[in-house]
Amino acid sequence: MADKSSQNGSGGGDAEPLDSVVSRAVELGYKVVEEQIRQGQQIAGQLASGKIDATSINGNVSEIGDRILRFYSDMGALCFEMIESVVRNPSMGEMVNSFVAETGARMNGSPGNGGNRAAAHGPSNIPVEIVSAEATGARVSVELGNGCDFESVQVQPLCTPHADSRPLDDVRFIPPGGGWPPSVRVTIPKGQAHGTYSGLILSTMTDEPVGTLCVHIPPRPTETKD
Amino acid sequence: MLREYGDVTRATLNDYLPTRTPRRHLYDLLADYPDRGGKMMRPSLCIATARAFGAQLDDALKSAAAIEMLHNALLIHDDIEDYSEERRGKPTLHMLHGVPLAINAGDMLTLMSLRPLMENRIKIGPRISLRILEETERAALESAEGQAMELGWRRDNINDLSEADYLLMVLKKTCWFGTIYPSRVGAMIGTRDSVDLERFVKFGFFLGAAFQIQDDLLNLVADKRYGKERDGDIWEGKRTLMLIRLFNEASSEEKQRLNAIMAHSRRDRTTKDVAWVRALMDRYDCIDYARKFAHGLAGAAAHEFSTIYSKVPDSRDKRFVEGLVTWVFERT
Repeated sequence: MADKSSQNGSGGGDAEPLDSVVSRAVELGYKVVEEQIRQGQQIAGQLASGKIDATSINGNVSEIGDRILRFYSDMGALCFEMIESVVRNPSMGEMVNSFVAETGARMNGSPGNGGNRAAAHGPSNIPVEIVSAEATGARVSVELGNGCDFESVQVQPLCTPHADSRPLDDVRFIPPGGGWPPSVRVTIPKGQAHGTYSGLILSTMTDEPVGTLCVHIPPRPTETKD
Repeated sequence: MLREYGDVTRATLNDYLPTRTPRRHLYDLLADYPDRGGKMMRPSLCIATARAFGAQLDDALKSAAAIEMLHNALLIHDDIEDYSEERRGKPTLHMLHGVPLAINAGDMLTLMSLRPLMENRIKIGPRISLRILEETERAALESAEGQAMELGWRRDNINDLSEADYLLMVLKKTCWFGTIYPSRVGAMIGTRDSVDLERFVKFGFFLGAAFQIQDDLLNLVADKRYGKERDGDIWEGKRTLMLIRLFNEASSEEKQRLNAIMAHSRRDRTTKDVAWVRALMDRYDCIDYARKFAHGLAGAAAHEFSTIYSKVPDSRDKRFVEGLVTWVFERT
């Protein structure tokens, strides 16, 4: 154990000046924390580099096989999770279908079917995530001007023509980050009445409309239609 | 804001505590420490950091609840490990119900904290949720290592410790879980994990270390209002900065007696022993020294805060985080 303070056993006496104690505290503090950060970065670097040498391959063929099996098992689990998400959010299923249709059409050299794209993308082709504790069958369409900055837009509360329906006000524009594209997240509270909710998207810089957003919640099987 | 964020965190936390059987031997025990109140600094720091960086309250609430559950779980186990008899003005959980049931309750509370962390994926997405789980693992690991250091010193009666040893132990045992982890999680939520999180290690360390030293100083005064027994740390043989300073300053004879007192278990330490140690701390100005030391660390925390938050717009939450640096001293 190093770095001890003085050992004078003098029984007390003059207190150490504030400046001296403060500077020692700060100096020592930085030394300790920077060493910890350095060690953490070193370990992270070793884990990220994933070096494999010839001896480990020769001696661990079965381990590699196990890893491959685990990888496919994880991929399988992810697929099931995605299916579960689609079941809970039908509009996501439409998005997946349209993606598959588009990809297939591109591979076949045709422009593709955009009929269902409005449900999850709208003409602006922005990914939409619907967050809901219950399956609502909701569809979202977003129309936004080209080149809009997701960090400087906001949407007004989405309303229906029916006065007794509470507006949808939990709509967020999520800027791109960490490799993810920009997206819109719409949260639908439990028990939200069916109807078509719409509102303007405004620029926070100019307060002027730059688009529209529309959420259509179909009637539930038990609800009576107006 | 501590009260405001504490109340919403407590309400969210209570949603995750079952009220089914076995109540008398498990679920009532889980609810005991959270119901006793507490500063709620960790969850408040998480929420305020997230909001300062642009998140909404709901985005951080589940993480905040998980942090508080984990904190209370660790307190249950810490109280057993430290042979503590009081917590927040009442007997500790193991004093009320016995060690076996208390250990089990602590285990269960730890496991239950996973549920809000997993449910994070609904609000903030699976990628950030997984990152938060990784952060939680790291914080738990550092906390256990720090606790092992401190318990090991006590068990083996290691007393030739330096201030650097103390700071490393505090960094791991207290700061990682207390201030670093809540800040990093909040920043992750607020920025969707797009900001350099290493900066929060320094800020959290200096803030947490200053907080811990101040907490240890409070223990040496008659502070029933904070729910701690007076001189409890001396009774427990806890290696505080004051004790380490004392060992470094005392004469050979005094050190011999100190070593002998620290070698005893809590049960075998006498009131006279504790009073003598405390008087010696006063004579060598250990308390004043520690207070100055903590001031230095708080100053470094303020510097790191300004580095991180210089480009963050002013807000109530930003001011709250900044205020934590000075709040640690307003407790006296």
